[in-house]
Amino acid sequence: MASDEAELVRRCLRGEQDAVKSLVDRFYGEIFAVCARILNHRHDAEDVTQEVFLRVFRSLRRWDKQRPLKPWIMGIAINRCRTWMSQRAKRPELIDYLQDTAAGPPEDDSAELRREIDAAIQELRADYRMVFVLFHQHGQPYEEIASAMDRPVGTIKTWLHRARLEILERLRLRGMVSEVGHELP
Amino acid sequence: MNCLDCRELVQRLMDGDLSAEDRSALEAHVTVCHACRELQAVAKRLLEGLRLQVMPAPPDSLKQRISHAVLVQSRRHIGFRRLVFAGAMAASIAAVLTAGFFWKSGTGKQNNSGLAIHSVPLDKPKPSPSINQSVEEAGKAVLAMTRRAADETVGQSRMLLPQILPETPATGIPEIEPLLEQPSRSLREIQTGMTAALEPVTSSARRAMDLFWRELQPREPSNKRGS
Repeated sequence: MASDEAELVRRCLRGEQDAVKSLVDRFYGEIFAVCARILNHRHDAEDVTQEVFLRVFRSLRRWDKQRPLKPWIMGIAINRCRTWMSQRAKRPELIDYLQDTAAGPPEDDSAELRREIDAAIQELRADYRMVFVLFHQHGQPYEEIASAMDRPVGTIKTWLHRARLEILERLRLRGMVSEVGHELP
Repeated sequence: MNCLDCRELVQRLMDGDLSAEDRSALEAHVTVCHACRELQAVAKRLLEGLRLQVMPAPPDSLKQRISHAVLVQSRRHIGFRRLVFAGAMAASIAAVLTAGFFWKSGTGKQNNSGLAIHSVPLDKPKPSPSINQSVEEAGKAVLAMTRRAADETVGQSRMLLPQILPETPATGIPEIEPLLEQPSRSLREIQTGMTAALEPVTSSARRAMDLFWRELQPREPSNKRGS
């Protein structure tokens, strides 16, 4: 896999269009999903995803061939999302991601649960949100998250635990747990 | 197990890293603790909701858009690198030409000044610009100038010598060496002359001393005879 990625990168550096399209095709879906969940806005996620790939190809020569490509690209995406969020905080209020998405079928219990989870995730502070999204929604291990966010693994674990507790507390307050048994005598 | 341990097990449950033994301990605790039972129930609900979530799908045009932007950037980057390379090459060539021009003009000035200074001994142009040859030529020029100055000095001295030592008549001593030898002959003659001149004086003095001595001699025997 690493040699395959190294060969792909080498071809990209030679300017082969097929290799460029192949690399974009391999990662752009997941990068877009991460950006969309972190930024909570589809159009912003599209712009940031494009910026991420422009930056990836600009600094492709600095990629360490000994390491897998995905965490490196994910780290660039995290940094771009951070920058985008800091810039967005200075701008006027934007349309919410959930309102920006197309209208779906009528909500059922699971849809309400998903919406509450999304809302709880968006209330997290940025670092906690990134860690939670990467771990629970994109299945990244602690080590890769730590590498992408340039933080120690212990810090990532602490942030994730706090993020979970905050989300659990919100879901509990929003009545997402209806059936809790009574204490046994 | 207390509630703090139970919260840790809930975290491990959400990590997907809960062993069967820990699961049994957790279940045993939540049967007697309402708060921990509620926490476990919310955690399970959260995991259920996360499994139901779908990954946001990118629009169809995004891939084409990204690929196009990347290729445009690559072309610009390659063009910029070529421009930088061409600029560097042009600058290098210009630097070499400028250095050559100044080198050549500096060498011409050196020749002109050399001709002006060493017009007599160095009338030939310097053929070689190398340092060793230049030093060698400079040494030769200094040597030539020294020889020339020495020759001029000797020539002028030879020209001035007759004025300092006027010529003697033909009857006189024609050369310096006989003039220098003349005092030695005169002294010998003087010595011989003086010896000859003093000879009568010395003989008269000797005769007078003999007479005086003779007059003193007879008195002494008479006195001895009388005593």
